[in-house]
Amino acid sequence: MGMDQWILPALLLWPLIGAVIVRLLGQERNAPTTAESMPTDALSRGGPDARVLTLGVLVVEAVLGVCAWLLFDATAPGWQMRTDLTWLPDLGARLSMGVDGISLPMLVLTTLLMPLALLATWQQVTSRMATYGALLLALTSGLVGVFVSLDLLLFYLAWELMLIPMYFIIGIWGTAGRTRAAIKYVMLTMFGSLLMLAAIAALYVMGGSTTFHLDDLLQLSLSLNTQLWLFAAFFLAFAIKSALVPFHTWLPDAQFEAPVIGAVVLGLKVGTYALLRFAMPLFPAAVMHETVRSVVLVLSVIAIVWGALVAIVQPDLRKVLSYASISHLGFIMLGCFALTQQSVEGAVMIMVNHGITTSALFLLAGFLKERSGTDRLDAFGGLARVVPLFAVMLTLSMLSTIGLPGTNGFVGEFLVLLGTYRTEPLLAIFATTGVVFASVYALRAVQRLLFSGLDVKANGEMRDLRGRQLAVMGVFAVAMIWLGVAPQPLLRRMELASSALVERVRGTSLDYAQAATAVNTGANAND
Amino acid sequence: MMAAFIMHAAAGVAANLQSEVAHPLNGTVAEWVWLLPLLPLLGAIVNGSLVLWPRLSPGSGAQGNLATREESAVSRQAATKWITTLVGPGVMLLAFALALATFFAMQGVSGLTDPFIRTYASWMPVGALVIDWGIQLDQLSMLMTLVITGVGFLIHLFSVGYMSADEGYSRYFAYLNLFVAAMLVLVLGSSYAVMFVGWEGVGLASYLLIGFWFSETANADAGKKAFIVNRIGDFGFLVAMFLLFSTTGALDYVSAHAGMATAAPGVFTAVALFLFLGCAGKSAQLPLYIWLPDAMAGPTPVSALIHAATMVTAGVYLVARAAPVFAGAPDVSLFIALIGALTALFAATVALRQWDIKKVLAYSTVSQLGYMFIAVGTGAYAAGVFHLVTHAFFKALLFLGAGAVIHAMHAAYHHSHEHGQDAQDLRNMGGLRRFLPVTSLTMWIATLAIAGVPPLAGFFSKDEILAAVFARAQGSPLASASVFGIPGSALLYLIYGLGIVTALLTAIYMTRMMLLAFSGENRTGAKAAQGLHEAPRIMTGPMLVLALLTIAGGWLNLPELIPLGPAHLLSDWLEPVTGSATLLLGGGAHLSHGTELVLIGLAVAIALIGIAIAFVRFRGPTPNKDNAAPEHGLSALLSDAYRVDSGLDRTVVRPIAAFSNNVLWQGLDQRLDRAFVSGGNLISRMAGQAHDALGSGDVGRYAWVIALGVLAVLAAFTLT
Repeated sequence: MGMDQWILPALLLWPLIGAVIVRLLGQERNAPTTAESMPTDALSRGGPDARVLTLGVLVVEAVLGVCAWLLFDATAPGWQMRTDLTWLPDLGARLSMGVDGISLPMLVLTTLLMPLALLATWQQVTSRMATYGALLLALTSGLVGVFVSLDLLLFYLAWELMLIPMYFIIGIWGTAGRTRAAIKYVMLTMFGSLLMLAAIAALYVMGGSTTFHLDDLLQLSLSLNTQLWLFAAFFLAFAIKSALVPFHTWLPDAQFEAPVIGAVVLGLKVGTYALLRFAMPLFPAAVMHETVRSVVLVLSVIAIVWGALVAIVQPDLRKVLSYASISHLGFIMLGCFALTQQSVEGAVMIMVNHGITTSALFLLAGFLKERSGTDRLDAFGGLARVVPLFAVMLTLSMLSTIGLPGTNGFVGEFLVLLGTYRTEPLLAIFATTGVVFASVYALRAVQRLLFSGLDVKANGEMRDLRGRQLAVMGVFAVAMIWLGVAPQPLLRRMELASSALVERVRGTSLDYAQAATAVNTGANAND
Repeated sequence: MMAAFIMHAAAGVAANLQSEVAHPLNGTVAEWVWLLPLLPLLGAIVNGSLVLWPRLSPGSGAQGNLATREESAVSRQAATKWITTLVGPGVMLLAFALALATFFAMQGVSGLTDPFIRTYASWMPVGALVIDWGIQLDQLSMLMTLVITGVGFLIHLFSVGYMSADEGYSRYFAYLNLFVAAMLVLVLGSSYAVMFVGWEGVGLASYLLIGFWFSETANADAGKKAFIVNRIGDFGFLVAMFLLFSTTGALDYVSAHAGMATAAPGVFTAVALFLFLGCAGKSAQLPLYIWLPDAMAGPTPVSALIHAATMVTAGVYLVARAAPVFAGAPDVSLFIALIGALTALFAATVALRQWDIKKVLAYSTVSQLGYMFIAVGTGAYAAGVFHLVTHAFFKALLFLGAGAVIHAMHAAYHHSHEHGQDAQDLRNMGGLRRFLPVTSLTMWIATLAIAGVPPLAGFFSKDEILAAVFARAQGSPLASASVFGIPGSALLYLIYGLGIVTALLTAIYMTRMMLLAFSGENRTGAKAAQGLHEAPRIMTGPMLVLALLTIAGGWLNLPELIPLGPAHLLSDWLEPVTGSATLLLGGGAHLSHGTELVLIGLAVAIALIGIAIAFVRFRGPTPNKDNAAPEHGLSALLSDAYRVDSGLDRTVVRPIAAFSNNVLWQGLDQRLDRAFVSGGNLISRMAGQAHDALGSGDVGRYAWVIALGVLAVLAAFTLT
């Protein structure tokens, strides 16, 4: 059995195994060691440190993720690294996994992000570390499961597997308002997932109750009406999960109350990924339905402007970031539903960028909180003199967030808008106004934190980024510029999967020459 | 890192010369043109590292408190300062030398009609979209490069003196080098997309440099305002690119312009309008000029380089670069010329009543940019670029001179311990000629040039613009176009008239500024005046060079009528780039030598009258700032710049903030949230005891319920 056949199950199961190991063997190290000590000396003190163990598992996972990246062949269409094992034979559910150019970047991003985020927040969680580590690993497994599942039941399981650890992470290690935030998050998400579960069950029955496999279900010939209902269920689940306006209000609270690593994971765009992977190809007629398209596209543009405008008046850095995320989500949705090669690749690009840039920003907000107990903008000022490295990283990440050319943020946003303009010029123009509002919220936050006089005297003693945190931020900085200047390794890998998606949903490749005339009814769900 | 990447890519391309057609510049020094933006980028990286490096290495006192940190920073500065002094201006000198060599290579080959294009790496290849990291070297980008690296080098030199006592010395040069790198990307890029990288890149550098002394909130605010207003323009640039791509399937100049040949007239109009929105932002035209006066918060050499000589002219460059697009939309072109003329007049009136020496120059820049848009709007692209070049000389000189004055004023107030005094207010100056003779002399040369006194550079370039407008009013395609129902011919005469009035005002406000600063009694105060002194040679040297260029710059493009040398050098040079577009808009326009002589006479007379008016009006004694009477009526309105800023604040800025806060956030967002929560509670209440878990906050139990629920669902499926 070649590596390409076991790598995905390994990616899925390894964190789960790791979670058990960490829970059973990991030692609690409640008293924080000295601020800058490296984690490697922990093993000598009887039993492994739970955090070190967790980090070890995540590093192995990241190596596996990189292997998957290397194994991927950008020129081959369809699923790669496929695995198909018997799971629940009575049901027809199988452990079916595979990746394509849309899931691969998300998968690799997740595996790389988790150890970095843990390292950057090393000192921020100090209680019940074995449980914490185990939950983080279970969460990782859930995320990986979402990105590699081709079987809808497996996908659903992974989808819920994300929810539970996240619930605990917010509920146990969160801040004062954590309970309300956690429950709101779970209630809303559960509501969506149940709808999705019902839709999956319906699809299963329509498919003859023998299979949950995406490829099989794609063969189904569904009437427009059925498609509309099922799509609505899926869409609602994913829209809530990805915090599309008007289902977005849980996100700022959850990201504010969660420990920083939780906020980072909540920023991963699993919802829009699932939309691209399942909802859109399964129900092309619904996606191309005039009303559905109009509603979603208009909602996306509203989200872009709404999120950006509300971000302008937020008092806390993390709330600014949450509303900025809501604005970004609008760009992603717009790109997905504009359905051109450029807009879809741009959407996936933003999903990846968001995982890099917004994570970096949340980690930076976490550093502020770690040092001063708050990230309220008016509690700071003049930090650029005190913590220049922090200032450089914050500025760079903010510039990436608002899509400055030369950073990763620009590539995604530009491709989405350019691609959208081809089919929806008016909406694209409205969406483009988002770049103006984005500069307002980003520069406001930068200025409040970094510039003006050093009003709060205690801030003069603030520690700059050092050691682990500096190293992690360095990685993020390199990624932001690299993907901004040379995104083609990523774009090249997305190309086939994105064009296949556009072709499947639109029924045509919508090549450049046909842009003006391409209006597709989407009735040919049967190809 | 970026540098390493590009170098690597460049090496890769050098190995396989692709399918480049035989170009006369193949194998010449032009092959090294990719080094041009890279050299200042390298400088920025080195200088930036000098700032950050001490922070990266542990045990350098970074753990101590602020006081000891700053102490060690001072001692470090002494050690690193000479590296910055060497690297900052050094990379500029190298870039200028390379630019000159490239220029001579271009001069050396004949039949240079096609641009020299090199692509180094693919940037965003997506489906039909092809965007490469590529450079386009042609007569226009070459000229811009010479100005940017040449004037840029001089201003870097000046900065060595001006900033020498600043604790942010290395940071300053890092930003300044970064700016030049971005500016060179802007003019050398081979596509609109790459130009946009430079376009926003210079905006970033400008933001960083305006807010360079960020401890003052006002400075940081000014930087923020500049960036945001520019982004409104960038919105237009972006939409124009989307339109171009959806019409032509390309964004590189050659293919996009070729593709536009078959586009509908409406497309030309739309692309041109959106592009011009970008130009209005970057080049401070009505109504987006509002950021430029505030941008004076930055160090004065920055104002010279970015906010006078180079960045603010990027909009003019864009119109010239996209001439094939603009020439296809004569109505938009006329509109641009009209906006330019109105901006020129508007800003000139404001400049009449400014007391801050830099504000006079800022509004003057806005006004002169208006002239450039008159030119490119009427299809006189070469004339617009000519004025861009001469303006770069004399306005950079004026700003550097103002820098020398402010430098001296600061030293004076430092000497007398009057740190609260305004070192930039003309009312606190007076009689500075005695203390700063070189500055006074060079600034007077620049003043006469901008006022339009022959044979200085500004005279020729301004005259060429006004002559072109006058000529096009009859018999040109523009004359038969119309804007808002007004025939082009009438509009062009109106624009000419506005241009003449502005010329008069220019002569007045510039002479006023010079008289207030350099003539009459000194008003700095007896004790402070002892501290007034001429700037060091590292500062006066660049000013003298710019003064020479201000005198000689007119020879770049002499009219036939004045037989002082070969005529039309610059127009001929630019002919391959903008020639056909010029014909499209201005073809058929002709001036008899008699008319041209009359126009020249009128222009000279206007300049002299303006200077005379100022001498009569502003020669007398002026009260010190502290003793100045409050202004009333029109002068107050003018010195407040028509109160546009406060008006915008009331009508745009605050309403948007209030809407975001009260309606979107507190209103809709929070209400939605409450609705979801109460809806959720309702559902859970219906679900029975789950509500208890919610109410008691026992999070663990609730989550286990979910987990069990999932398992139950799975089990249910398994059993069926």
